[in-house]
Amino acid sequence: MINSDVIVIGGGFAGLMAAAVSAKRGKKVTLLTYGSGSFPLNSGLIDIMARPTDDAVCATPVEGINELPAEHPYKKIGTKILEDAVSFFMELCEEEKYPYSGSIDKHQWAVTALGTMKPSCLVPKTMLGDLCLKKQEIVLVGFNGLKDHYVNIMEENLEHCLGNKKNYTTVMIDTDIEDGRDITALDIARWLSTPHGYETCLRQLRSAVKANSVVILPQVLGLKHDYSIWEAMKKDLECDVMETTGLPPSANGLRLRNLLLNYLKKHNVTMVENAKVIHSTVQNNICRSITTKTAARERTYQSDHFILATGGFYGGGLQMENFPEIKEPIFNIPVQFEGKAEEWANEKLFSNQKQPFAEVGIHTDQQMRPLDVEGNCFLNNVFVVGRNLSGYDFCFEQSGNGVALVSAYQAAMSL
Amino acid sequence: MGTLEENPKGTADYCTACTSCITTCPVTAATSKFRGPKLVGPAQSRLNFAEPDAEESLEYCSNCKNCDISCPSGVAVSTLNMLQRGEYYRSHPHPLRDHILAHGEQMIKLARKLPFGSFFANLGADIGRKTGMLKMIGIASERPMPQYASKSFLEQFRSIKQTAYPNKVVFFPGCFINENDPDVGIAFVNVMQQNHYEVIVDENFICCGSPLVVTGYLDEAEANARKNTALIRKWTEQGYPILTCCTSCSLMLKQEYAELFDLPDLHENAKFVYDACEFLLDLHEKNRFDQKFSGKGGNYIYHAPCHLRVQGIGTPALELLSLVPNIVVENADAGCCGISGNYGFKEDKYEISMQVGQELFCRIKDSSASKVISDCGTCRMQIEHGSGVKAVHPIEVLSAAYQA
Repeated sequence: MINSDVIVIGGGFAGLMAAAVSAKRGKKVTLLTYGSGSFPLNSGLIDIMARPTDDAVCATPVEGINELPAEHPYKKIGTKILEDAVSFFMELCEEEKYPYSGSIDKHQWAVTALGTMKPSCLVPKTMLGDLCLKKQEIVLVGFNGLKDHYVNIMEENLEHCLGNKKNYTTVMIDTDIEDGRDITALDIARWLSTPHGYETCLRQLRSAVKANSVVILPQVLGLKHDYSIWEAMKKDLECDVMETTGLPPSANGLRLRNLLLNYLKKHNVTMVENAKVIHSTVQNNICRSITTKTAARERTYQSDHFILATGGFYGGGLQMENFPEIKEPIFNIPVQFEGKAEEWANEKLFSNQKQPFAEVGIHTDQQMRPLDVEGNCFLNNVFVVGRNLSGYDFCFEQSGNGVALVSAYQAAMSL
Repeated sequence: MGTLEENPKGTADYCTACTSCITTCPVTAATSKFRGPKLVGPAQSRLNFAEPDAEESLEYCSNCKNCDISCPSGVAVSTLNMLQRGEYYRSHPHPLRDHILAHGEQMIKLARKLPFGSFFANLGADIGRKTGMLKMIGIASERPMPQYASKSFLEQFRSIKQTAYPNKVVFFPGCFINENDPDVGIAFVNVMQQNHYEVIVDENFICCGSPLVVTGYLDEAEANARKNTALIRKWTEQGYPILTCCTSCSLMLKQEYAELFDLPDLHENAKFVYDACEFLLDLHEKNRFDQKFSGKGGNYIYHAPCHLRVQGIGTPALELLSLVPNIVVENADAGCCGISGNYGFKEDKYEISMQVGQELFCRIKDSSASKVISDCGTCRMQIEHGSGVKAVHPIEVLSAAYQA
């Protein structure tokens, strides 16, 4: 039995943020992780809101939030707390010397690996796509051997987005990374972190890039959460330098993860890895303990509060073997889908409607405590955050990591 | 396809190829020769029925288990790799190098039957290293071979006069502590006695089989598992906890036996297997851990072995040591040390192994700590080799803290 003020279950962005806010408030935090969340899969951008109702992009993230239906997590939590959550995150990144840019009053447009412009909100300084609008010369950099980053497709799409009045150039860089497998962005990021790799790349860029251009690369400017490679390259090329979002594995997702883990370590959060939580012990609407299953035996952890950040169907926080029996395995929180089986998914993947299955999840009160089918709070010291919440489709709305951040902040402030 | 809990071998089908394992695999980061965890064990397990080809890069998996820690879907990635490797060696010959690295226990047991056996074994290894003979057969000449103790732990244990207590634990010393680092075993007996436990050692225990599994001698490993499991069952039937001071041994007994082999009693036995610090921390939580410390303390830096991190029990040594006055322990938190049992002893893996450990070595060298603490014997060897700083087992620090 380990005693804590709060146990956070889940090592994704919502879990790490909930642990960070709790620890900052002076709580004794134990973080139980099972897997590394979706950090390696997303680009570490904090999308807040771009498409609240249909496929039209709202004027600003905060205006989009106003258009949302009442059951959306943001609506329950409120704009004031959302602003506080954003400030907390921005200060945390500043403290870890990897400051993000952005605010809820303006979309930050990031360039994708396909050459489209994606609305986001809080982004690392290497991904501020607005720079493309200000520069005439755009240089698209690819790496020979790197999959999923094709500069010709990017050029075509960027021309479509930004107009053909700009000058587009493409450059392919040869790396001398040892043979053996397909190269990933992480391999190039490690290569650029060595003086040899950086010089080799710079030499090739210099011969192709005019000063005062904007140079767009895949996410390869290092794996550490600092801007040293980005700053050096800007200076050495006398250009603006930018990274795109891209397919997994994502360097910036890993930077964000390392940044948060570093913060948690400084704030004395106890971390138990590979800890699969299987059930809880509840008396009189109060959770007393939760139990993990290790290969050898079960272990019990006591705490005053519990934050559930186990994710949705992908992360295993919600499970469904037979429609429509949806299970939340740790606290047995009821999760329901109101429609018929054929209404579960919208078969038109790129339609102007949210996906019904994506909005399935746990209903909570304003403090993020789960509700039963009658809408009553039945677990007074349990708080639910991130992807296992109901009422939002992060993919459609482009609120990925945003709802996680805001709900995690609200839960940790409600303890 | 079984459920995750019932059939770890069937977990390949739970792999969604999400790439998390590739981002945390230290070997993938160190060399392009390894295609990455998801592309060997899990992918091969599913494709073998179609094409029985070997995947060359499987040789590069060190079984460090960071893939298992990062997997969101509960896939036993590293064990699938080891099963595939075992499968490969059913139809391919083993190099002599692997035979030597896998069978250290047999060799020293033979040597100890001769007068001054351990002395000549050490001398032989040293001469072999310096004359390039070890390099010739594929063992890294840059790396010092583990030195055999002049008296094994078992030999020394026989002459310890313990105070008898009704509470007893059974100690599984493992090859490294028994043959190379008996001081850890002696410190363990001391710590258990201080906490009013009597230590039983079953002299019939043999190597847990970890070095055999990672070199693809699965049948021999299974024979070891069968023998140890039967011996352990006799003790667990009487309710005795089984303790180890080696995280690779405890991982084998708790988890890998059950993942790799279909033997009776594995799950029942596992419930009684504890890492020594895990057991002592449980005692502390029952308010039964002796805290009469009087040692002079010190500054340490702690390295959590990957084979401990994967056990899902956190870092019990760090929590225990926080109870000792005057001792300051910083958590290195710098990932895998790189050696992974006998992996880093292989000539063609040595550089990878040192590259993986770089971050840890730097963290240790930058720290003001005078010694490193780590629960794993080969991690300690690697740390001393890579950083030049002395490394000890947490039980040795506790034992010293009890001494007036």
